[in-house]
Amino acid sequence: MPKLAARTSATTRSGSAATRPGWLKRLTGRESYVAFWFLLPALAMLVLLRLWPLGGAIATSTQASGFGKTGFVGIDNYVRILQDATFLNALKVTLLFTVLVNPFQIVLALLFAVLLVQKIPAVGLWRSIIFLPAAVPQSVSAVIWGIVFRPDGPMNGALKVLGIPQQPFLTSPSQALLSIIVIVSWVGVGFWMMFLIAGLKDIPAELYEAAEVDGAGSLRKFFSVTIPQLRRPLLFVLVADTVANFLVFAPVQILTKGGPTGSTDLVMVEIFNKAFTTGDLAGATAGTVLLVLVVLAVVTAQFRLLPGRD
Amino acid sequence: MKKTFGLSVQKYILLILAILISLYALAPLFWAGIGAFRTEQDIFKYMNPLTWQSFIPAPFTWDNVQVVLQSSFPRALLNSIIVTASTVALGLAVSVPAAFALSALKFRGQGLVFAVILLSFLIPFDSIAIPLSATFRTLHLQDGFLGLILPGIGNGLAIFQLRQFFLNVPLELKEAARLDGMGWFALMMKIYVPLAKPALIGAGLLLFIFQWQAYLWPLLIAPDPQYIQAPIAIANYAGEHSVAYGAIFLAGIVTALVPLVVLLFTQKYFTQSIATSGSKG
Amino acid sequence: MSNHTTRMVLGALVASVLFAAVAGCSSTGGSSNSGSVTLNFLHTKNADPTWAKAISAFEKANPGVTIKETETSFDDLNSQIQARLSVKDDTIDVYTVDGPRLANSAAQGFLADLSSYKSDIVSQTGSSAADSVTYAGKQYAFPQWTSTNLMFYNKSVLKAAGVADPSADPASRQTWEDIVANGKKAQAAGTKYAVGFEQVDRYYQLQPLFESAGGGSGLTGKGNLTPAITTPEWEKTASWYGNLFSSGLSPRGIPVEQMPDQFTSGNIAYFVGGPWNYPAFAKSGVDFGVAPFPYFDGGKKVTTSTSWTVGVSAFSAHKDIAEKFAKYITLDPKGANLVYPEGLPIQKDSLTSYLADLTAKGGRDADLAGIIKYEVANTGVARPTSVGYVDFETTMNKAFADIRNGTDAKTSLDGASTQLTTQFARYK
Repeated sequence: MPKLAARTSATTRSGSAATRPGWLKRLTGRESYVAFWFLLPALAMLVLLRLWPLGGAIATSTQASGFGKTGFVGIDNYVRILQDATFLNALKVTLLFTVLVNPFQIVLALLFAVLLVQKIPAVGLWRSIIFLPAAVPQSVSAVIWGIVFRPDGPMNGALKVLGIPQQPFLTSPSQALLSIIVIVSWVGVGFWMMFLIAGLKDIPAELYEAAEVDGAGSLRKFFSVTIPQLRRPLLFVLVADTVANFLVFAPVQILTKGGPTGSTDLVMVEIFNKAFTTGDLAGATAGTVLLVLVVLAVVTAQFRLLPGRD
Repeated sequence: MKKTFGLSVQKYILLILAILISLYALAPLFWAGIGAFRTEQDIFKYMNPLTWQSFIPAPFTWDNVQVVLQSSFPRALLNSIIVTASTVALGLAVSVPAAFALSALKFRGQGLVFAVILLSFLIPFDSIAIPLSATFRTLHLQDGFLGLILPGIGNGLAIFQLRQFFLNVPLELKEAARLDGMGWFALMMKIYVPLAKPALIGAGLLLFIFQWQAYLWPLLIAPDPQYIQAPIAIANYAGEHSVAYGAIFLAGIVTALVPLVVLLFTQKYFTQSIATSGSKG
Repeated sequence: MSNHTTRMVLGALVASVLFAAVAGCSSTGGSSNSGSVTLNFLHTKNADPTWAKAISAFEKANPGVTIKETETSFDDLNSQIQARLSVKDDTIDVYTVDGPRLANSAAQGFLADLSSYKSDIVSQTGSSAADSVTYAGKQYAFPQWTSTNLMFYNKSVLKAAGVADPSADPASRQTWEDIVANGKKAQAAGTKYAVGFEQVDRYYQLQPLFESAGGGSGLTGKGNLTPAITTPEWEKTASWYGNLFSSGLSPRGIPVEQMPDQFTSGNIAYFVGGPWNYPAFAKSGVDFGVAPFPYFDGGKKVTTSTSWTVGVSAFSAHKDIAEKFAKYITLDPKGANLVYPEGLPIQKDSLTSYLADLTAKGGRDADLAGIIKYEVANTGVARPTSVGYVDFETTMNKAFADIRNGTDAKTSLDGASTQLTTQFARYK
């Protein structure tokens, strides 16, 4: 029975509400009570440590900014940063970065995951090694990559061996953002891969066998079995990766400070500089609120458009 | 196509691919690892063009090992382990019931709760760190482990991730267990948790990475050298006019190796899936 | 694990968090009321235990006072100060203040008013040092060090190119035109780069170029809140600087921290740096000499100055003793002398003995002492005092980085000027 259950659960789940047995109906009231206690610790943490400070940030964003000035100014700070060419450029760069980095990372993570669920000798070792970059402190990995990408650095040394001319990498407006994408992907792909491996392991082997009986090749099995079955973990990875990439700032702050010519200036870098360098807390919180709204819009779209949220 | 010989050739190709990807992950760390055993003057030599000395630290030195051992790094690493391990343990204790409630229970306001959890992980923590650190100070949570651990425990991403995997647990299992008179807590611990071990490891990774990479928060809330965290101890190798690159490389790699060891031990749980463990029970 | 045990463990974990949170709220902080005082001294990380001797002398002279040092990296110091003092954190008593950031910190109310020590500051460190810690007519820190910049040159490289060593005498200071011409010869003779600036994209080290060309500091007007970086002098100098990189005389893409290595590796003929580079260069075995900071032909002879000062937090709970300590390590002849200077000591007796020690070593050390003595007294120019300095420096450093990476100087300066006007609006 369980085997069958596992195989059909995905399809029966949505229809189960209609055929819910009588005992479950009686328990619904009690389920709310149980759910309350199960959720309480987590919700308390999230409300106190995330939402409440966000409320504080929203309040700060409506206060006057600048020395010797105080008081409520309404949406002035929002107007100010939205008229600031630097901030608008940062928004533009962030969106471009998001559009490039997320598909790149997720496709790579999925390919790596598919490879590393095969029966290969020492597969756990390869997985752990590919995960390793995520555990290196960000400041260290940024410094290492900064040297690797130096015009006279080891990357160009390796390219020279392959007969490829020297590349400017982080010093060129056209390559800097791509270089940052390489760096954050080196860190992120192995991390997100782990969740997809867990998801792939959840797919019942019977589904593949059934597909084989139907005469499906590897590619068709991938699209007709793997992807649909993986939809929930995939949605998680997509949302989580998107959020994580919206919040990237350490490698940029350390390596390019947003340059050359603003080509790597992410919103988070601008927010950080306002809050921690120039003391413009009101501008920083206004930027934060706008960023949260943008991320919220993108994530909501992902939830609406993609399967796997149920 | 499925002959034994054919399969093993295929396996070799896959193995080579896995090794190549591992090399891509390791290459920058390998280069840095060699730098950790070079003298300061040699670190930036032999980068371009590549020579045999690019791959071997000659002349070899233990100097950086000594620098790292005599700095605050050993203590910082221990502190980071304490903070991260506590966060993972407490974070799972808080997240698992929440995810269970969101996936196995039916209650009013479910959508709202899920929305709160989603919103919570969209908020850039570094942006709210300044006001939150002020609150923590008024509560006298500064310069202590508790102040470092608390923000890591409430992790909406971990709850969301667990929920996505808990939803894959066959509903029939839950109904059968309830019919047998099993309580909700027992249902969570005996059915959901064992069936979703890879997901638990995933949630653990999310809780882990938040603390292991934490930089700004410890700087603000626990500046006392007694509670220094590994990334900050490493950043302190950068003086105003000189940077100890060899020490940064060494300490950075050691910092990454700790979780690597833990992860290697968890690999066996990745072989258990809901389908396979379901068929046993 | 049985169901019961699991439940107990989980319950205990959750309970312990809640209990600890409650306990944390109710316990009081570590402030002392038994007559003993602990002062927190936050400063940048230095290579040597800079203040250790002075601290133990102060603790000995003031029983019951303990100085607790917290060190942090240069970048993190500014973010920590900004973040912690903006929420009135009282666990910082004394901290090192980067000279040009003083006005901004004072305007935000982070620094205690030290005007009552004005006469001591002037008598011990001179009036220009006193000016550098003055904002809106009040003093907000004690000057601790000053700084200067100079030019290092690689002797063997110049010899191989048949170029004479530049003189260490400030009276026969070389021009940038000479340096570039000679550097090209060295490059033709096989050296990788002709000229290198250590702080490639930092206003601090590049300011003297613009000052020498007659472009001023880049800020003018009331409170130094009007950018003046689009003048012909600025544009000319900025494109001169950009040309160093586009023509391959200087290396692109190497960050500040990795530039000194280029000189010790023998890759650079002329290297602009500071006295702080000297010990590492001497240790590295590279054959080098020192010469004064060059100037543009027909232009002014200008070098950098100012450095770290020591301030007392406005939120310190022990201001009196904190002021006493801050004064001891900066103005007190005995105390200041016990500090191992990361910069050049500015307290007059310490500076005299520092230079005397250096001169006594003879040779290259004496050359260095002669340059420092002359520049500090005659050519040093402070960075502009302005509440907007932090914005200015951040924006200018980015502009310099862009120019170095090949962006047209005029475009870059025009962009920076527009940005600064936007940023400064907040202070007006």
